[in-house]
Amino acid sequence: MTNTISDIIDQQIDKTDLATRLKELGSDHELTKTWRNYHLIGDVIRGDVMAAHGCVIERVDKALDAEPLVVAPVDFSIHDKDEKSSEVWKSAGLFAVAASLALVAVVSLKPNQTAVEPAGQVIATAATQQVNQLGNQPAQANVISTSFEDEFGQMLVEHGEFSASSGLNGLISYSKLVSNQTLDQ
Amino acid sequence: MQFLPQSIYRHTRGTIYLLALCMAVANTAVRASENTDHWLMRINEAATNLSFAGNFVYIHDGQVEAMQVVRRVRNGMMQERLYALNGDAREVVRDMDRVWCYIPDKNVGVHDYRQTSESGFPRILPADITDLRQYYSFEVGAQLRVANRMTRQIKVIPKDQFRYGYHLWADKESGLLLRSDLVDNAGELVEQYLFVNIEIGGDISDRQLESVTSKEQLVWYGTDRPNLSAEVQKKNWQIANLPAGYRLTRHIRRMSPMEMEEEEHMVLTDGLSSVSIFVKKAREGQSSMQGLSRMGAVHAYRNTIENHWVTVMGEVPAETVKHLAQQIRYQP
Repeated sequence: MTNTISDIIDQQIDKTDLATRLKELGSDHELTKTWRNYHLIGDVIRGDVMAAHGCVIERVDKALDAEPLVVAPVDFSIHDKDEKSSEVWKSAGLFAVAASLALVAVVSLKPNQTAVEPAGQVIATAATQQVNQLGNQPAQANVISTSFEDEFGQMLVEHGEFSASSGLNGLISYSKLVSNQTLDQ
Repeated sequence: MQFLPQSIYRHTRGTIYLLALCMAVANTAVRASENTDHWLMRINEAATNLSFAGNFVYIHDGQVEAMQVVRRVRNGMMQERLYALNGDAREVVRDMDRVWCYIPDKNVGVHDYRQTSESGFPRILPADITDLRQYYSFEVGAQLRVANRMTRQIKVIPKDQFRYGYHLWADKESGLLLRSDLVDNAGELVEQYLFVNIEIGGDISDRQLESVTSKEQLVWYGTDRPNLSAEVQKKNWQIANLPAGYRLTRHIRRMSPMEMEEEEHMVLTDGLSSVSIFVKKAREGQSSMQGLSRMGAVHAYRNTIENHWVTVMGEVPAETVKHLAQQIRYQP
């Protein structure tokens, strides 16, 4: 049953078969639950699950119990050299999605640093302005939707890797990757 | 003795002076051009060939972050390590093909294949500088001491509002870029990279490229093969009116690793600035952020066109991403 999810996540599925499998996924309660577990774990990895969701730890523990292989550490000493490693990597490959999301999370997904222009509002340009806003307003002020944050970060990584011959983009991407300081800390 | 009438003589003499002046100006311009070309090529070459180890600060949005970087080029193969010196000890190790991200504060490591091996660190500027001169002017500026080394400033000034400018400081001895300021059209600083100390050349040991955090300490996630993508043959998405100098260099289709939805990715560049356009089907019943977003120097603009989300993104001014987002058309 979970092979379907594995195949989908691992992109081992034929495109023409994808729609059918996704329909199966939607109609099968157990599959849907497993799918949600995968994504819940992914959410936690990238720090998207807010305290407001409640019982998060418990939910994640249950999810991990249900899918113990998913979070098995990869043994790099045997990395993709033999069958064992390919099995390990297949397990890890299940999390191609989570991996990307985790990467995204690190690449400066700082909601409060991202000024947005909804409905014609003027974009904030001065960092000091933003800091002041953070000091005076609820944390959610100017926060863009989580899903768009994820997408934004993912697109940023993809953009950086494909950008012309100007490696400055690469530099920017990776500097953001190891960046720690955020306005909301 | 004069062989020409006085008026013609005076006229001819004036013309000769003018020509001489023009030639002098032209010679100066040629020398200046050769000089900037020389520096730009040196920067490019140094970024490709040199090994170095040093610390730099990355300044953006009023924040200063300190990082350590080690880069080794050996037999044409490049290895790098980038390490945060402030806050959590996050680091990135990468070679030509793969990248490992260490995120000890989350107890997580991420391994991934690189999309391309083209974007080095800190490589800048393509070889064909002649084309760039149509859209940027280049000036060699003053000398400045950076990271205890003498550098020469090179200004890259955009000729229109569709791109940012760069103020670069290259090491006089090696040509390596030691400081880079990204500036907007008003000359205001958008982002800055500045080395505070650096050792150029020499032998970089394996140990210097090893991560501080051991792999065993983290739970690792990753893919076991490069992302699959294919060049788009039938291009339904067209951009009606590109800003001068920008051209489409890549148009691929692949499965988005996040949602496993098919997406198209177009890359536009003028040779220095780059813009990506991502197109994917809008999800039914789900609204999405529309309009302009910004993170540091990166602007993004999202439109919904023909039931598709079209996102334009790049280290370019807001006007550029807005303009492109408004110029995209679907042609079945």
